[in-house]
Amino acid sequence: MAHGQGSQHVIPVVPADDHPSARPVRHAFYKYPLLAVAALVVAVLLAAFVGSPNWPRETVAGASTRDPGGAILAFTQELAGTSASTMNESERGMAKPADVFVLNPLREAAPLLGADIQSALKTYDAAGADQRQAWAAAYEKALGTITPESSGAGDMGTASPDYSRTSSLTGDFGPVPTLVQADLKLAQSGFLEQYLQGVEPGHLFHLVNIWLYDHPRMLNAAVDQGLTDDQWGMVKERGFGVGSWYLILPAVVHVKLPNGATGGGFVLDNLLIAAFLLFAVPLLPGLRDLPRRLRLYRLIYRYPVRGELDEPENMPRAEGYHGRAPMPGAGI
Amino acid sequence: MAQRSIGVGRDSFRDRVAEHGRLRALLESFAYAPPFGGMFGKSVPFYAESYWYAMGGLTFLLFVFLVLSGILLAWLGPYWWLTQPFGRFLKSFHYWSAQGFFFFAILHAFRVWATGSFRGRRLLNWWIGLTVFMLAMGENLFGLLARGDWESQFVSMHSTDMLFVEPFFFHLFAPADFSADLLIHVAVIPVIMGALIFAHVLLVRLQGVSEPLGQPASKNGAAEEY
Ligand code: HEM
Repeated sequence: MAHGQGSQHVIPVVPADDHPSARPVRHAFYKYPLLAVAALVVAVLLAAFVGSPNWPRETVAGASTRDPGGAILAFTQELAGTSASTMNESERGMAKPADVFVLNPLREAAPLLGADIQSALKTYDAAGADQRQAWAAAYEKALGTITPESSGAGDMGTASPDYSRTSSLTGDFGPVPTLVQADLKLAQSGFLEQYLQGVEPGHLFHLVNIWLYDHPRMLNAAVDQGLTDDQWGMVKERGFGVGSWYLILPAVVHVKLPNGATGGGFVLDNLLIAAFLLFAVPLLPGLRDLPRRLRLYRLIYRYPVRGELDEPENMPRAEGYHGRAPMPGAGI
Repeated sequence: MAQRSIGVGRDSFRDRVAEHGRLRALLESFAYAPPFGGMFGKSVPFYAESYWYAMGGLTFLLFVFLVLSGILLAWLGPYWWLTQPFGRFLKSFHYWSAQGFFFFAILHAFRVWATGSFRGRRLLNWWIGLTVFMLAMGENLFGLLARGDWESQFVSMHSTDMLFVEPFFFHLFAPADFSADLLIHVAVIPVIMGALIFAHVLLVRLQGVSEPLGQPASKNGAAEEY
């Protein structure tokens, strides 16, 4: 039949010099609606039956209810100035974490929290900066004594103090234990999360996420789930088999190249790779000749099977193909 | 080889039915009829009639899927796409379209490289194409941050620690800030990508498809083999 290769089907012949026919033929536009529908159907089926990663978000109430010891540790570190949030405070454009996460919410809720908390706040406010720091540091150290050696999350994770033993701690902690226990109640009840969303309207999850990262639970989960750098977390998703596999190049940079794990090194290494692809691959003698040498183009060009060029579809078209006639020498 | 020739003006529906049947003529009519008809060159060199040369077009198609599903998602909001069945379906469609986009873009880049199509003045389009690809990886990161599930929370904090504490422009972003992430993902990067993809395809249209690579032993250039 004229419309297809039919019984003439044979393997295309690649000539010795590899040159395929450049005869201008009618472009097979009819394939496009078919390809588009096929792509649409595949995407719809995958979406409907495989879905996409959607692990429920962590909440302040959830993290501090399931792991109250971790919340106590986070609040204490925020007061002591040793939390992750304190270290990156200016980059994140936030006020002091001790105020944002502990003292301000407690002040806001103080009328409802009773006389003990109100007087603890007064004591804390009346003390000098050194005194406050000493109380919080002492309490953080004491929490260390009731923290199990291993969290079961490998070396990278942080273990949480054993909450049931917090009341047994003694030392010169000032009002710190009272304050962090009260803040724990606010966190567990959902007040803290709403408060953190409310102080930054329009940036709903900013402070919430920062606090959740002060709590050991999130990083521990990432370690357990194989989502940290050295476990190729960049190309993976929690609870879903198919991640961003196409980020493998930046992931290799991040994990394997010198300084790739630091921000500056990561950016620099990626720029070097980009420069290699942008300039060296197409311009560097030797490298730019690789496609011609490897001859992989033989897998790509269409070579006619016998008789194919005689079919009505493949009659030469007089106008040449787009771009050629008006612009001679387009490419070599 | 046959030397009969079909010229300009042999592109009416009836001509095309006679050439390769009613079904194909019908399917290809979008490329001949308004409003798009004028945008397509009708002839290509025979060697480029392989599926490898459709990879750029498929990448573009998946970009269109991403934009359309993305507009709907942004319009209806995170609680909807994380919890409601149709919202979750659309979110998944967006996710798989992104997978397809990168899949086809990589195949496309391979075909461009393997056919040496970066030569001469197509170098500019090599640069534009790679820039689009790099922007797409950035877009992927901000999409992940804007998703609003556990992975977003973790990656936002993790990437803050690593990347966004850098001086210069990284200071401008707070990846833990969902609103900023969504804005960048929806209204900044895709607009730049769209403009660059437009320029990329326009250049292909102006320059035509690159001429084939071959071995230097060849005396008769492929262009003469009509
Ligand atoms: C990511 C989105 C991209 C889209 C939507 C896109 C789209 C296209 C389309 C439709 C064509 C026409 C020919 C064909 O499809 O094979 C094309 C050609 C081309 N593309 Fe892309 N492309 C993209 C990425 C890239 C990348 C990553 C590169 C380089 C690594 C690149 C380099 C080129 C070059 C040099 C041409 C001209 C090829 C020739 O004349 O033979 N493109 N692109």
